[in-house]
Amino acid sequence: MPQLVLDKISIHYDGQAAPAVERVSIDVAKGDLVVLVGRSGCGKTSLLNVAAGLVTPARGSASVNGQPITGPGSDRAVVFQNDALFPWLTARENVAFSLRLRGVRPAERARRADALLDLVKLGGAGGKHIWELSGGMRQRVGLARALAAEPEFLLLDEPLGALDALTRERMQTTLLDLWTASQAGLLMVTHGIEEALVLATRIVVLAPGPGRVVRTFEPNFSRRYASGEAIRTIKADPAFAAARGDLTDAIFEGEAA
Amino acid sequence: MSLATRLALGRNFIGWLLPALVIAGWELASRVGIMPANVLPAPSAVAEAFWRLTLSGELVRNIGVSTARALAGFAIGGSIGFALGLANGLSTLSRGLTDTTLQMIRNIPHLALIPLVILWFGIDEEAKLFLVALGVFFPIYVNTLLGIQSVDPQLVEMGRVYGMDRRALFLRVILPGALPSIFVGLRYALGIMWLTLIVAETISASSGLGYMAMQAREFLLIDVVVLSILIYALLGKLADSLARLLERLSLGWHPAFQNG
Ligand SMILES: Nc1ncnc2c1ncn2[C@@H]1O[C@H](COP(=O)(O)OP(=O)(O)OP(=O)(O)O)[C@@H](O)[C@H]1O
Ligand SMILES: [Mg+2]
Repeated sequence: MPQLVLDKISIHYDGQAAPAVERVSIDVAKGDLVVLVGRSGCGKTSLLNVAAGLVTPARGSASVNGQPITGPGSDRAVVFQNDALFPWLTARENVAFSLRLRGVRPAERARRADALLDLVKLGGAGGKHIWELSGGMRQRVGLARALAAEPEFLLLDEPLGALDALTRERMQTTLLDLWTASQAGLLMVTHGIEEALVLATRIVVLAPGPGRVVRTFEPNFSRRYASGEAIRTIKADPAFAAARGDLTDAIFEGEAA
Repeated sequence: MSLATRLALGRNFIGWLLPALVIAGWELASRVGIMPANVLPAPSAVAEAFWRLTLSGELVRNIGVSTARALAGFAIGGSIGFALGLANGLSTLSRGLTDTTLQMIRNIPHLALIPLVILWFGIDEEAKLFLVALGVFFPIYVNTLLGIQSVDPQLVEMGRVYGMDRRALFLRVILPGALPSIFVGLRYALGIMWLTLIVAETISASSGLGYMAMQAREFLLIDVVVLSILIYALLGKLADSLARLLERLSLGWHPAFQNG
């Protein structure tokens, strides 16, 4: 079983007195959708960067499929907190970027990029420049670009953060569809409590100062969606409301004290 | 003819309307004697001078000499500025070593060096090349450095995620990201290039457009003086148009270069 493992990771940035993250362990198996939540500054992005191979942890080990992570690799793709699209390329060229680096032929590249843009409901926007797209459209292009690399693990930092509530809800189901279809392992950061519950197979709640795990939840709502239940009925389920209360408590636990 | 081309032609036409009117008015003023010929010769007199100097070959030769000087100076100063801008944008060591010194030198107006340059090189070619190169160096250097420093670090990080090596990272991410700023420097430098050359040629030269203008002044040939000034204006405009064309071709993606 392919696995992305972060084992007792501590992160210490240069010039910082205290560690940003201390002894956090997270593992993501293929087909998992692990969501990181927690207040601003608790180290969510930092942990994602360790998984991406962009930040080296001070202690602990990070590995993918048993191999230690020493840098970025084609087995993992990243969607950054801001979209980080290349403004000098069109939407299609951005999506096709990893294919181009791998030497895929132009016609094939364009075909696959357009298929992915279709998947994120941006079919027809392929020829547009990045600045012609709204924030939400950009995030979807970013998502399509990450998917193009056909990674085993997808690392997403607030991928739906810039969307309005309505588009956001629609994109959550799109994301679930993509996840079910690709069967990749997803590690994702979000600030949305409902979003975490809808998407996650596991929720890891982090607290700041230094960043550490305070609780984990294993909701089954995304599995229920994957097996055909409508998102409306899932959200109307009293179990959903109860889980939302628990999760909110866990995130803000200790803050009042 | 499509609507777009007709509109473009219309816009171009409108742009030339005012100069044409000014020239017509000027000619009229000279003919009726409001404008004395020793202050400003009539446009027809300037055209005559143009024709005379073209026939004698003097004009073409001087334009050639000046253009060659401008381009040589630009190539020298521009490539050193570009190379240093790249080096200092990409390496903190290089920047630490040279940037403070360069910023200090930048505060000296390069034309203030003319007396020194004449002492060093006399009125030989080197003097002009040196001044033009120096004038061109800073806008190119500063804007290349600025361009590289302003490339979004997340884009560079993204490049690393895709496993690009340093070379690919430079060619595919850093350079395209820095290009808009580099072009700003290029266009600014082209302006400085002509300005410096005019001043250098008027002060010390034995050929070139500036020399031609100074000679004409000695012999009170005011039509030739005015002609030289007009040619400078045209050459400057030509250089700028070329730079704009290049910019448009390589920055087609940029929102500032979209038609309509
Ligand atoms: N490059 C860096 N250099 C120094 N300190 C950093 C760096 N990146 C993050 N930090 C610090 O590490 C801590 C965790 O930051 P991180 O970005 O991982 O938080 P986050 O949970 O993603 O926050 P947010 O929800 O606001 O995105 C913060 O205290 C931050 O100041
Ligand atoms: Mg973050």
